[in-house]
Amino acid sequence: MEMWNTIVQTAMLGTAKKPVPVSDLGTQGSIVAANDTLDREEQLLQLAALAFNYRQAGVQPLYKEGVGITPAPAEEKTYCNPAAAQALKEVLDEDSIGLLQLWLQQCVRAQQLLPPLLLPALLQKSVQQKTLRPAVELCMGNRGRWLCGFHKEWLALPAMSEEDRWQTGTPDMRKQVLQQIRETDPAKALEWLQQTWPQENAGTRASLLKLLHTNISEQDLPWLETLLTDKSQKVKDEALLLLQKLPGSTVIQHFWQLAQQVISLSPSGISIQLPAEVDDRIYELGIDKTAGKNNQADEAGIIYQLFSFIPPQYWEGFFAQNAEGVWRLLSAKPHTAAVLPAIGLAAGRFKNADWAELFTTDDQRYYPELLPLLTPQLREAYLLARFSEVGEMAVTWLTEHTQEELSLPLAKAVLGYTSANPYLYTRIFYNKNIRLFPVAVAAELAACAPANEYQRNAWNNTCEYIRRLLQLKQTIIHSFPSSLSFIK
Amino acid sequence: MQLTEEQVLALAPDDASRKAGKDLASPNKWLTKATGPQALWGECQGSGSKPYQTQVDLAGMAFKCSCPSRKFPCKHGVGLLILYACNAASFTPAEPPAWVNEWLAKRSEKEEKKADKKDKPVDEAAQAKRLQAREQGVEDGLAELLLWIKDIVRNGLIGVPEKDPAFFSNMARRMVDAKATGLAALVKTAGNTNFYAEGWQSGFMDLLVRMYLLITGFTHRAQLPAALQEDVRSLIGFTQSQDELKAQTGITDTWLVLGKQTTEEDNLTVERNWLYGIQTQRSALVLQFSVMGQGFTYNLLPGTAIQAELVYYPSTQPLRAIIKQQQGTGQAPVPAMLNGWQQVAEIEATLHSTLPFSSERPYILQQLTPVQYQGRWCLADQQQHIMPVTPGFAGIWQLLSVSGGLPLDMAVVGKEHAFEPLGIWSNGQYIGLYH
Repeated sequence: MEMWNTIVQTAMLGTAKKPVPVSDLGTQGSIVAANDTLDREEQLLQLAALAFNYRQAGVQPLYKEGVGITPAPAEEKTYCNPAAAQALKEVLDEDSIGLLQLWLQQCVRAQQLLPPLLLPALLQKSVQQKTLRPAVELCMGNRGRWLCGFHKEWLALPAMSEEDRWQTGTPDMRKQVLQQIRETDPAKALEWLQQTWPQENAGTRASLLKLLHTNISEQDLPWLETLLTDKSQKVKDEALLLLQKLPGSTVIQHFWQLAQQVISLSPSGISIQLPAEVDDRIYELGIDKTAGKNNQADEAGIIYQLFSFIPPQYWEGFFAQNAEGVWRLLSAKPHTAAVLPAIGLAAGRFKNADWAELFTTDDQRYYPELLPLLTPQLREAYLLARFSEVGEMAVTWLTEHTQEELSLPLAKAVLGYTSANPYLYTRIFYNKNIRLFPVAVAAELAACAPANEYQRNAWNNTCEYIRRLLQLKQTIIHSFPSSLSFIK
Repeated sequence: MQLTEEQVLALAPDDASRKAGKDLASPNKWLTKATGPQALWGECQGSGSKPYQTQVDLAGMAFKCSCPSRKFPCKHGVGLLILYACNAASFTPAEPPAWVNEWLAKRSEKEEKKADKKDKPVDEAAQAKRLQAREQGVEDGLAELLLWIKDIVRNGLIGVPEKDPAFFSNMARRMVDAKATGLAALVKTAGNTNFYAEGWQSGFMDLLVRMYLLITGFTHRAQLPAALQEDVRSLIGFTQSQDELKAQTGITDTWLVLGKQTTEEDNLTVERNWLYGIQTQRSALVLQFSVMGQGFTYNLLPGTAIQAELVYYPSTQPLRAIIKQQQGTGQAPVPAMLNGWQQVAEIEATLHSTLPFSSERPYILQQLTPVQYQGRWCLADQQQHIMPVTPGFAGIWQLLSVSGGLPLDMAVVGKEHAFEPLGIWSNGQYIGLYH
């Protein structure tokens, strides 16, 4: 090695500047020096060739005692079976995030582990697709936790507790953990946010406040009211949006006081009109003065917005009737019926299931915000009855808010709509949302074909793809035998 | 030949074709599909008015389709063959229609022409003249290359990083003109040296020395043993006729496919398949080339074993080989293994005593453990000898995950101080790693 280094040093400077150090290169140097047919460059090249071969032929492995890594701890759970591992490989090859989520969901439910061979691929995927992380963490076992210790991008996954992630994580990580906590323990999420609030800047405050829409309750009220005087307009706006969902807030109470002046009962019937003088504060609390024509809201527009902020149950007390009675009363005359859609919006805002059900009979308007409040049976019946009119909205709602498989009739209705819109619903749509479609729908795909010939050809191609995804889905389901009960 | 779906998919030129092929592997995509003794064929309704006519010659694994795709095989060919691999019974046995017969006849005509060409008497004098002209051309090129090398050595490597890229590309082009493509590749590699990396000088000097050895080796070829002459010629860029190789008797064995390394450059895909003969305990490197996404002749899947006759290219230490004949595929028993890195070093030393140009070789070793030493991943044997893993090896996480930090029997490929795991034995089964 010394000989090689000497040669490289000479070559670095060049034989024009540094003569070949033949005397430093032992016998080999003397032999080469003795050959007077060689110029300096060739002398060096010959010596280099010799050293090169000497080095190649004399490679010795390094002997090192005590070099090693601590082996991974033994697993407490079992690995998934080979069929499930094969299905996972195929899902990764197919690059279907929907099926990957399903696979992980099944693995978590079966309390099994990811196969070690595919574990790195999953850990890497969960860096890019953060929604996969919780499930990957549950399925990676001790081997995964051990492996993460060697990879800086994966390290963040299991090594940090929720509190550490909240205190010291990246903005995305903090939002993610606060969202998780808010879903399971809303009071704790509020407490955590209050603790770090003084240290957050206005932008972060506003973005974290958005997360309180999940599981919002009267418990949040006192603190949220204080934010209406925050220095930042962004924070005030977010706080206002939250307070508009809480019946006990000063915002809603202010609207309710006005609403009671707007509506009056007399023997001749119900009259609805704004009082002569309206407190301008309503425009600060959420009513848009510029919502109507020429940036001027008309009286009806202001009343409509106002009613959308009134919890529907307040009208039951006001009219001393139950929800159905109030509905009948207001439906009786066109000028009162005009505020019913606003009450529909309010039912969604205040999550009033009794009122939500009443609006399913309204065949003039569609209320997507009420869908989560309906029972699954009622929701399905409502969607099926309205699919032809509100297909796009219904598909959007189902893909964004539904995790469970759709019933066969609803899945067929969805496919009937999407098949006729091949540009809007490409393979990417089915790849992402395959969780919604039951395996049994594979037999119904041909029946979902649109009438238009071009669309039918496009659909025939897409069908094959959907069939393959469904087949893979079935394989996944069958690979985890203990977890069939939640799949229809 | 009975193919699996995975094997058919491996014939597809790219991922898009694989996916599209899978989509077409459905019976209702095909208006007709049938099979004869030599071929299978089908008609697939595409976007045009007439269905595409797709045919596969099963004997020579060749494809033809009337679709306008430039990919080869096209998605229809892949789809039809997948369908056949998964459900051969759904194909109607029939006599080939005219369009299939026509193609098969043309193919056999071509084969006959090839055979005729082979049978034609060789004009030895003309051949010798051509060879002499070629060798003279190479010698002229080598003389220029030697001057170029000497110029670098005289002025010092220190000035090389400042050279214009044309300094290397012009010389590489000159070597291509001289039909010394092996040397052209070495010049290109020298030009691609990362001059910001620590220790680049040693690697650069290695390349100069390799070129110098080849130049002097070729100049004094008459004094070299015949096999070494072949090594020198091959490394310079003289090609070996595959027909001549195939005319030789090869080595029949059960060859375990240890791994596959694929590289792509300028629309040329090169597949390096590392094989190991179970009975002969010899390793082999089978290269396959694919231009513009065309398929490879053989589908060699890591972990499977092929029963085949291989013919090695002439060399003092034969490694590169071609498959003369493949009889079948199957599972291979666990092969004999070396007990550690010291044994690898001894074998390498013996190889270098007769062949002065090191090249990567595969080895199968018992019980290697992935370890970290000075921030690098290494493989430690049971005697506590460690060997660095090739930097940037993509499969390191898979290896680590499967091993859990415990030793595994492993196949590796490399030379000197860098080896890359090709695959491992886990529960008696060989698993290929990412490359």
